[in-house]
Amino acid sequence: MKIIINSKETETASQNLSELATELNLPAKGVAVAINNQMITRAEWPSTSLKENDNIVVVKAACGG
Amino acid sequence: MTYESLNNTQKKRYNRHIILDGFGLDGQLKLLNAKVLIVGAGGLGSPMAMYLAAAGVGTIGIVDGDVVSLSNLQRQIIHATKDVNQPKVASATCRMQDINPDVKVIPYETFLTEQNALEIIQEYDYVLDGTDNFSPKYLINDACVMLKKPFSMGGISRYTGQLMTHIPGSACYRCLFPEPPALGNVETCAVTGVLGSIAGICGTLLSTECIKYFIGGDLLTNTLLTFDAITMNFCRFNFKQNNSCAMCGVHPTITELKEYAFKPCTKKNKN
Repeated sequence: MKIIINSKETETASQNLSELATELNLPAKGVAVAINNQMITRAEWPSTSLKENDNIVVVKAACGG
Repeated sequence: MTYESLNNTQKKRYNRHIILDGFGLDGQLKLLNAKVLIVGAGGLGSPMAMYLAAAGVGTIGIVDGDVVSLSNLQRQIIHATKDVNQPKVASATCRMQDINPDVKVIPYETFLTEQNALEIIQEYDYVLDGTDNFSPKYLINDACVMLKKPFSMGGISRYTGQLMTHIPGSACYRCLFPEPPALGNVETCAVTGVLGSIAGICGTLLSTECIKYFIGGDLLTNTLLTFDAITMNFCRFNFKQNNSCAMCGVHPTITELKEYAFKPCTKKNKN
């Protein structure tokens, strides 16, 4: 299905957020993931299904100051 | 402090706040009575300290154990060329007092540690994070949640910035990022570079959050605001207080302050 990841249209076979995190090789710590501007806690990733045209944003924790 | 206790100079100095709808004399008096702690006198700390001093925040504590280096001056606008090799809190204190002699500045020439964080923070009404690595960011989060203190947390990297605000009962930084990234995944400004002016964007947003805490307005609680200076996109993301959060959840597992071991950006005299 077609989804948007960080503003880029992307084709994915992943059915849920957990599978997508594996597909994107997201690190275990220091990233948060939002679907349609709602952050999804890591515990909810396996039960969060992806839908066509979902707008996914991966935010890395920024430490600079 | 009351209106009568403002002298004529103060009435003139704060006139644009006093006449401002929704701010007024009440708001100004709240700022003059407020005690705010700024942790870090760098890229974010510079604009925060200067705007809060200008705004007339009555007591401003500033914590930093570093000295000014030449590579800081591209974005750390509170310091001047003559301040290189001097303690950051010294030049920051002078600059704030130059801007506004009303302000009582309390400098702490130290880094925030698990030993001193609670003692320093408990004296203040509001905490602003302007630190440059994850160790003090998590210390600020944990200490403020323990002490029930409100704070705003910010971070910048390359061309992007992010910030959030916590008040007691709202989501904390660990609800969003439960643990810092592995050291190998940490991008510091010293390694990747950073557009100097975004420290100003993020720092002024953070100081605006602080001012609004005292005078009223919607805060970035349960919200992460991110911006990207390349596209000029500002995005808001909602997040909830996480019941299983190790810090503020139903059964917190963090019950005492503990520093993370890495401090990639805190070397003295770095160039």
